[in-house]
Amino acid sequence: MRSNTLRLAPCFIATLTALWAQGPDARGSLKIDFPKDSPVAVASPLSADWGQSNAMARGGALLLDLHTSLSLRNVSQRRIRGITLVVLAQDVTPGGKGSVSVPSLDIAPNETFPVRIDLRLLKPLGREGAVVQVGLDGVLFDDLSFYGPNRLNSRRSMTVWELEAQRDRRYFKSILERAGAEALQKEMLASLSREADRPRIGVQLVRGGRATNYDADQDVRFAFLRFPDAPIEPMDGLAHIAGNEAHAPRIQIQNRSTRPVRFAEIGWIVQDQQGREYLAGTVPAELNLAPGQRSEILQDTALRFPQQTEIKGMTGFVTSVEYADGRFWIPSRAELASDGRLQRLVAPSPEEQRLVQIYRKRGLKALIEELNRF
Amino acid sequence: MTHPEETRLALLAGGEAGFWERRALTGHLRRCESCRSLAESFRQIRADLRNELDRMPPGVNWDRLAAEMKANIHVGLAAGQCVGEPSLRAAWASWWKPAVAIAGLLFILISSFLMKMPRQQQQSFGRGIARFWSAAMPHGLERAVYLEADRTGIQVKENGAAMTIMPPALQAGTAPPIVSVSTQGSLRARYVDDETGQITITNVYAQ
Repeated sequence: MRSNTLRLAPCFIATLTALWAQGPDARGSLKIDFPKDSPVAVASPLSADWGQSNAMARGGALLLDLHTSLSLRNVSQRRIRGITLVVLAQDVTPGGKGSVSVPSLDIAPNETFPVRIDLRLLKPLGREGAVVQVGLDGVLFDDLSFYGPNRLNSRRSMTVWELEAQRDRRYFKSILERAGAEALQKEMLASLSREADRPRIGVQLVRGGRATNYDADQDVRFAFLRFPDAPIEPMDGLAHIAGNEAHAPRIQIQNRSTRPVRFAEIGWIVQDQQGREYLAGTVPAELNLAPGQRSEILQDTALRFPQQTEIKGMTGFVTSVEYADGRFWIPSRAELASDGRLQRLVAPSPEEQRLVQIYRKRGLKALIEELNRF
Repeated sequence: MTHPEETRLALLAGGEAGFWERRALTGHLRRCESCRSLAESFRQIRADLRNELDRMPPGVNWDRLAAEMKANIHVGLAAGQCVGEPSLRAAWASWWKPAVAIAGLLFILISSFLMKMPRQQQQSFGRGIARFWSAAMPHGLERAVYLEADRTGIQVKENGAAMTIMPPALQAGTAPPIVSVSTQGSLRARYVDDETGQITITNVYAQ
């Protein structure tokens, strides 16, 4: 007993020393750095609310919780529709980074708006210094112009979200105009119901290293849902499946539009051994595809599903396309509604989610007012 | 009684017989008088010869003889260097034909084995080899990044360190975050902030 205490004492002292050296003040671990000509600025003096931030030792590691709500001001002359902040913790995870985006905004010049950042960092004891840097990756304006370094391709994501927002607002407004408030209410309830029933599956993405599953591989071929208006047509595709892991999806596509395409994204639905389907993720690809040309999308990534899952089938569909001239194609509401599976599996757009939230929290009248603002 | 050959007895007398040969001959000599005397005579001849050779011949210029020997050693070494490489080449020349034949045979056997194998098993076999190869690599060369979602949020993990981007505390009845993965190497979670009504989309990247 005594020898155990003596043995543990140095460990205890080392942990305390390391904690003292690191400092329990979590806010010193975060550094905010925006460009000088940024269209948003951290509003002073209440730049950040550090809330429940704290640091604590857990085993041989330091667990750092950072909870902050940045108050940002639109210092540009245009209305902001979306913003993406990049969160870098290079000292913690050398290859890893994160981002926080807020789409579906409508921020007038000089208005302020909050952006919450809630982070948890687990780092080995002994690594010191400011661990998290928050910077600006991009801001999208109401005319779809963009500002920012765009290192995370946030221009593309935010533009797609904004186009989906315009599409969905048009759709709900048309229902309101054509069939009245009651029909709009039914749409909201249907959306809430779909979201509650939407099947979800846990998924882990592995990049680099080796797969852990040593089951015999088999190639499973994709089936495709085709949209008549999509500029890209998936022709054929397969992925290597080993038990609950899917590796290296490979999809052949053809540009059937009259314009060159530089980006396409394919939605990936998987079916398990009991016939249940889930939207597993997306297969995006940077392209340089002339009209009529074919190409192959190939991703060297492994998706790992829960242990008991056996993947028996896969379905793909085009979710978005970017032309070389910077314009985008997204599926229409009618195309998404054309197949019951898509309606059941595909998540609502961020804007639909926001409008449903307004209906849920503030009622039908507030929703109609919100729709009429645009 | 069978008597051993004279050459065997000569080798025994000269101390050049092997272990088992020496044992056998010594046993025979204990029993055979004639062979013993023959072996003894060989020993005597050998001793006489060594005595004769040990005596220095008269009139020999030893300095000159030493110089000639030294020169001959140098010539021998130089000649050895000249013929060293060709001797290796000659050794290879005698081996390359059987080596190529064996390699060709192995190639044909492996090819026919793989060609008969169904395509899926071929790919599985290839991946198995790749996995074995990667398993044999030192751990420092393997660097996997994991992105995963759990109830605390979405996280990127590497070498025991992790960064998690969490959703705010969700109120009861609020829909859980919508999580999706991009095979380009990112994981995304989308949720509605109950306080502000804003949509927040968080991403972690494995790049």
